[in-house]
Amino acid sequence: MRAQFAATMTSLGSEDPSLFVLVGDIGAFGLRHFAAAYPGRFLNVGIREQAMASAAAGLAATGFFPVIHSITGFVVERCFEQIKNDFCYSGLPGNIVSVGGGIDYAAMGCTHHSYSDLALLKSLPGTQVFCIGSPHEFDRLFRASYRSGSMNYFRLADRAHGIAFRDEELAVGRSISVRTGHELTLLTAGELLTSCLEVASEIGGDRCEVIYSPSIKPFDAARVRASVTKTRRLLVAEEHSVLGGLGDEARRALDNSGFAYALTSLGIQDQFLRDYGPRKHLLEVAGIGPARLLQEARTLLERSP
Amino acid sequence: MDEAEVVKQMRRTVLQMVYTAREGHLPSSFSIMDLLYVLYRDCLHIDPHHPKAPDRDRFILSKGHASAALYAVLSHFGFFDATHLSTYCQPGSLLGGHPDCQKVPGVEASTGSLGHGIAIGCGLAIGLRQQGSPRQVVVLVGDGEMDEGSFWESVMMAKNLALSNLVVIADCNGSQHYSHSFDYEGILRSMGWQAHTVDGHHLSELRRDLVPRVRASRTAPLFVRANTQKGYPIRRFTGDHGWHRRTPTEEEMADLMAELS
Ligand SMILES: Cc1ncc(C[n+]2csc(CCOP(=O)(O)OP(=O)(O)O)c2C)c(N)n1
Repeated sequence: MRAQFAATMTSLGSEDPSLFVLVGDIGAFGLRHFAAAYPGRFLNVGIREQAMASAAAGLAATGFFPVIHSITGFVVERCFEQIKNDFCYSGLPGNIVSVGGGIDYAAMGCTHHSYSDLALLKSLPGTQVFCIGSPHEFDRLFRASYRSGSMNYFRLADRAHGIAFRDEELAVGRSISVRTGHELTLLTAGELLTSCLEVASEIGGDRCEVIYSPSIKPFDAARVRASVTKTRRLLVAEEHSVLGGLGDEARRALDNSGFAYALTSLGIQDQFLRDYGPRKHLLEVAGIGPARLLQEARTLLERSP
Repeated sequence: MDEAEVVKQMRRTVLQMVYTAREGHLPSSFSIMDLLYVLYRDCLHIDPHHPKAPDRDRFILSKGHASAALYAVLSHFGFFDATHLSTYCQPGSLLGGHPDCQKVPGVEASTGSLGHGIAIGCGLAIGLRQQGSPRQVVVLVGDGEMDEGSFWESVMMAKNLALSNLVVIADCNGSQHYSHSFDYEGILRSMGWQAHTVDGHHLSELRRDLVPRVRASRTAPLFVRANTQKGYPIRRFTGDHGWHRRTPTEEEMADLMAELS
């Protein structure tokens, strides 16, 4: 995924002299080809994330389309106010690409987890928010949006989900129906798609519909509504706090829909994930491991909405 | 066992922890091993059996990614049992990739995001002073970490509030490319701090140059520039940023252990 970030930057850098990449002492090695090819449009500003964010806004005001990059907590949570005032409020275009969102840095502890990033950036006017689970997704969605004038945020998962999409399926504000079914809708983003598809096959037949939504804002409410109109059951799985994430988007999409449905929203509950170990283990601790998803899917299927 | 051998043994412990966990920052840990040893052995007044006793010095490892070094030292000095070290970064462990102050005895702040430790240290220093405590607050930062704005906000706050019970030690291993270019000692002095430079790998020199300065009563906050080598004494760790968060292969492990024996 990081390789795709670098590849997309290098390729776009040659087409577009207004693309400017800034990093906060993270990812400089991965971006070395971009740096070598366009030395005037690459800066490793050092461990100075807040200054990096505001400086990028200054660059945007001179006509560049800046990309700022670091670990999620440092480029999103720490720079939230810079992003709010200097980009969103000021109406300047920008892009944030982060790694280590959710619990990718599992054993590194909570300073290196971030399950508030999507909610935070979603809450600012003038943002677009993407939770990216494959290199292709990043390439398509970045190209489609980086000059849009919004502040675009891309959370890159460490591991890709491995599912291939067609170019035209990957569009801002659109979700993808990865598998169709009739009794239960599974909604997810990022790498958790893998587990959701496993759940769907484990349950078997055409009972589960799987919707993949890398575009968190704008959110494809219509597809969720259409699917749940049919299935009347929705299971949301996200590597993010249940407060303000995908589950909340789905709930809003179904507001006033006029029919009864059952909804289970799985994500990180209102707690810090203080344990260590591999990501798989932390997913289990958080209650979003594959076994838990399967169990919750089965429970929902037994319920009549 | 002579002292140099004790610290070498700690580096082997850290190496083993990181190797087993496949996680951790070896070069960043090795560059502060000697400093931590002298601080805990000769300088800080903290009772390992009562790490929350109000009448203690406060130590913050602000460059929390070097946690493995801190854990090895804390366990050596009896803050917790050495059996915990082999659980580093594993499920159920007290000891994560960055230290959690709610879990690890002797850890005062949950660091890992750079630039927080000095500001927390200012708060501790203000609080202790207000309570009439004679205790010191010692914060160990990385030189790259000094990039952060919050570091400089705190430097000015400490000067303005005359936090004479605050000590900042900078592990100047020069690995972050921007940090080379500054004369931190001169800058801090010009900002109203006391400032000194020490050799961060020389145990007896640290005992002679660092310890009395930390313990002495002052009228201003104290900055100590510790000249160190990232990864000391492992040559291949120095100057190769690729090792920053890399863990050794089996072959490399054997070599490294040999270098440390
Ligand atoms: C706020 C913040 N930004 C970025 C990082 C990622 N990071 C971890 S270690 C490191 C380099 C730290 O350099 P320095 O402080 O000199 O310590 P060293 O590793 O050289 O001992 C960086 C950028 C971080 N932990 N926190």
